[in-house]
Amino acid sequence: MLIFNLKPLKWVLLAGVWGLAAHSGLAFLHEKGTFERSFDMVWSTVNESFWDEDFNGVDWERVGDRYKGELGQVKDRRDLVVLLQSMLDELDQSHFQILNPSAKPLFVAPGGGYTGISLKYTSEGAYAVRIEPGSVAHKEGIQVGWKLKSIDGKSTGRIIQSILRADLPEKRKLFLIHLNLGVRINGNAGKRLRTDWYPSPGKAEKIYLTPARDERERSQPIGFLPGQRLEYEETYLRDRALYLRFNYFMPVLMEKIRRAIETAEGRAEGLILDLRGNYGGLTIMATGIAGLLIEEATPLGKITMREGHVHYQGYPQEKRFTGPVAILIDSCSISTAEMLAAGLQEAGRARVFGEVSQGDSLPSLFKKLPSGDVLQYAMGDFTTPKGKRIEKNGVIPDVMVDPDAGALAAGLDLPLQSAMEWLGIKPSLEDDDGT
Amino acid sequence: MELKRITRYGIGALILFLWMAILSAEDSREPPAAERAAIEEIIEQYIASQGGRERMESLRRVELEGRMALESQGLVIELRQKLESPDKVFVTMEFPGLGTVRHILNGDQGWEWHPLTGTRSLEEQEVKDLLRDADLQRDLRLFEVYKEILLAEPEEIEGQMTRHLVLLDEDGKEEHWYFKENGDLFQQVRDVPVGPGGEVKIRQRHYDYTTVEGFRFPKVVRLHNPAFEAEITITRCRVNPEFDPAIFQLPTAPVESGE
Repeated sequence: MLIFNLKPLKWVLLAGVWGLAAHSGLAFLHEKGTFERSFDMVWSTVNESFWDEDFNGVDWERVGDRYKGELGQVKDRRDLVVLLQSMLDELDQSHFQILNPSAKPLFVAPGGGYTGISLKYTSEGAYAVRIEPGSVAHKEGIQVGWKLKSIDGKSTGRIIQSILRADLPEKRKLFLIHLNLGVRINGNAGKRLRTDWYPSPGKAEKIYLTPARDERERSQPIGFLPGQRLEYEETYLRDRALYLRFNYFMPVLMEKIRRAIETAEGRAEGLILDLRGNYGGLTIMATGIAGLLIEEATPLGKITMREGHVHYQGYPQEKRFTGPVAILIDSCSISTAEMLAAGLQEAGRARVFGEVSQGDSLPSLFKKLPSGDVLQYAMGDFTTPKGKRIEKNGVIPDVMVDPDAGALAAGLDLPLQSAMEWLGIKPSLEDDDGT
Repeated sequence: MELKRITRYGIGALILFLWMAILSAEDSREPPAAERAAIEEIIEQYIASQGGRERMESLRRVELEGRMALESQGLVIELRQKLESPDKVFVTMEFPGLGTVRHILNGDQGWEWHPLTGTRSLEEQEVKDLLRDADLQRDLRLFEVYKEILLAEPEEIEGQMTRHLVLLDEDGKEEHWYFKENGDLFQQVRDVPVGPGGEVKIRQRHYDYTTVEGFRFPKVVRLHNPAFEAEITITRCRVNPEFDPAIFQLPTAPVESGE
């Protein structure tokens, strides 16, 4: 029969996107019928696609009945989102959420500002761990290692405490702290922002920043997945190890990554892939990166659906890097980042350094609702080739390096140092015994 | 659902005959010969609905263009497929924001070129699936292609009664084909190989049949599986066009869209 073959299915299935947070900004009134249709779509999508017919022990029929009973009290779109999200939360799995399609991408301040500061939270507070050269923060003299006291008069400690008090899993709280501080520190474009810092113990510094407009490269939207602000860093450490850092697995970055890894062969003694603060993206891209690092076809994991399964596998590419690979992860490494780290770790191809990752690793798709919002839903369960479930558990590093306030204050990146030492590279010139 | 069996192979046929005899004892209304005749009639009608045996035998090459819409996902994928019987396939899929994926089959070897994962050889199951597409006379040889073809109870789909066949391949995997009264294939349910060792159950329904140079085919195919739904619309069909043989060779570098 003359019909298309079904190969596109594979790419639809493998184009699952992970790790995007919901945003607010809902202010529209909708007719009741729209709410009901949206409710039905959310419930039935989960009912048909959840990989486990027993819904991990949740009585989904009963959950549906209970929340449908509350639908009559929904007055506006915001209420509806809260109701739908509460229903999805009953599943207690990541990647089930209601998104607002007009929302800003992750880590972008509502006012579109950008200061160039990256923060890392520890139990002692939040520290600047990266200041982008040429950024507003750089020009104003903020330095790596400074501890943040407050943003626009709001105490960092208070922000953190309010999140820590929430009834959420610990790793989720860590993620939300980073998300919240990341948004606040970028402020509104053009609007002066007061920041208070402790450059060193006992010393305080007040710095006013005027955030620039966030003009970082933005990925192209893919379906209902909005474009995301991208960060990409490629450098040689001590001229011996290739260091790559990026915050999303988005196609627009693949050529840069490919070129960097291909040209590292014969030049770099090792590769450090920094996936800290990486929020995932297209899963297929992880297999593409793996293909640049492996000698033979290597399974990275398996997605199990209600009916059927898909294997993730890296295929060796002609030009590849054969040296040792270190991967850095932290509590904000999510989804595709976790899949790549776990897959290469299990295959013995990479050694993983840092903190336990977030444990949000379900492949997901998006569906537009009649209300105008978007349902993100996990369409399968993900396990490593050896059957380990990353969801909830996270990736356990080979070398655990917990955040250390003293080290951060001294401007030291201990996970990176550990990785460099493993590669046989001294982290700093001083370590070279006078050379 | 009660199944009536037909087989073409020696010992297996004997064992099956004995088993069928038991079945027949339970239900003697339709003897095996009648079942076979019913199945043959459905298949012959299906062949006739596509343009007839003679016309299908003349089919050597097909070019299809279209798009696959995942409305709920906000995605439209541009598709282009060139098939040359019995074993050549060239497929491109343009994904917005991602790039163009290509699959090529040449004989018993298949390749994929993907903007994110590079080039790779296709797995055995994937090659097998592409060979199925490349075999443009496959529908004329269903009794050879499948180990068994079974007649199942008619089923109502979207308000229409359909005649239902179950086709079992050599691995014992079932496909379900549902035919309309006029012989058109309305629905197929089967496992589709997805990547290395992967498999997904797909239901496809066919709508809006059209005729090009005497060949009838569905312009619209709706796909459903538990994860998503999609609709493929064929916008152009060429019968027996000439192809440049070079398109079926392994690309050494990214090939421009379409060729």
